[in-house]
Amino acid sequence: MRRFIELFAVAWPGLLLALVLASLANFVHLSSQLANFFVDPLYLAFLLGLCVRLILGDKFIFWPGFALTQDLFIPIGIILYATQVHWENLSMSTLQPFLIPLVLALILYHLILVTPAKRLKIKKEGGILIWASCGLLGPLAVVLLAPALEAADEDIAFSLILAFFVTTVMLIFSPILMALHPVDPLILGTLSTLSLPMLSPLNPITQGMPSAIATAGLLFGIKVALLAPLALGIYLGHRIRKGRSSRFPLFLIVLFFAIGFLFSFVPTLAFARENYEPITKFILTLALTGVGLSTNLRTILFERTKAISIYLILALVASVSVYLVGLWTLRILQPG
Amino acid sequence: MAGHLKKILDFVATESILKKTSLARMSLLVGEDVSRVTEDTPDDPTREEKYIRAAQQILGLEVWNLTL
Repeated sequence: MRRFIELFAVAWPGLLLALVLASLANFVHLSSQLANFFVDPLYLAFLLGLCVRLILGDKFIFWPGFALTQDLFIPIGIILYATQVHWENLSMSTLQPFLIPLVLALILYHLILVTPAKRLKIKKEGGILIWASCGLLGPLAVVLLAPALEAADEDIAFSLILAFFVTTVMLIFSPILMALHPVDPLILGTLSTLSLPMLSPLNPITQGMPSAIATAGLLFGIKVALLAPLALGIYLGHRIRKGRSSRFPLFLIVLFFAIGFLFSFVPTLAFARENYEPITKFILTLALTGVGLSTNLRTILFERTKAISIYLILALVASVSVYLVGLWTLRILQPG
Repeated sequence: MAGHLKKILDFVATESILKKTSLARMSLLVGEDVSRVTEDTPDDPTREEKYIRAAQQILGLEVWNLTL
């Protein structure tokens, strides 16, 4: 108890600041009529954190609070997010139509984004985060995988900045691509979720197309479900490679699976699932505020200038390639 | 000689449950950004003493038994 009071006594200024910023991000999100990706509280909180850190500079008094926000709220966010995973929707018949384009998309993201990482002096952990943030679920994938990877703050921030850029640019490019290759809403739902890190039905492009929303929602669920085995694989990899237990606790992965299954297959819990959504989103927002506040953007820009400029192009190439390959695959799989 | 400061920081990280928080507290106590310390950071007895005192306070250690 004494240690806890000691910790809180030094961490409260940073914690309070993170709380204010996360609340602000949520307020902007909730009060926005658009409610699309541009005001997604996860990105907004991260960007707000980055800006405030730039203004504050190296004020050590806030640092323990910023770090505690990550140490505390990332694991809580992971456990709470398990309530939102729809394992019950995953069966071979639902997976089948998306399996080939999804696997192709993940391979393409890997080839284009992870292969050059080593040459650009980005560590393996950073490469996996880039792949996950651009190819899987944007900021969510970063929050859910970073503890298992024991990734450095700079790698976490770098992958988030990249995913933010890709999503923004694809939001502009998607209407052009769609005008060039008109597609039906079902295919559109799959394509947008394959090619964009965020759940695109919220974007104005696909808004109001029920079949696109349903398809993208299902694909989103599949991607979330991929994260848990991925984290487990990373954990086991650490154990085998380093010959010791990872600092990332195994119980977090086990809890993620257990809570996910309970909320998917126990009817009363599944019914209450929606109640947990706002708090889950807020905790994850708080965690990303902590990431932003702990990141010195100036250091990333100066030390990774080459990597950033190359990656911005590569990320764009990856997104457009995945979109086109997805379109081609889906047209072959679902002719007419 | 180099690497003593990094060794102290690694010890703090290994012994802490809240790793990032402990390292951030180290920065606050020693008054410098400890994330900039690498294996190549030269040894400095004055800084080492400051780091050890901060580490002891954070980990709640009465006796410092890490051999540098």
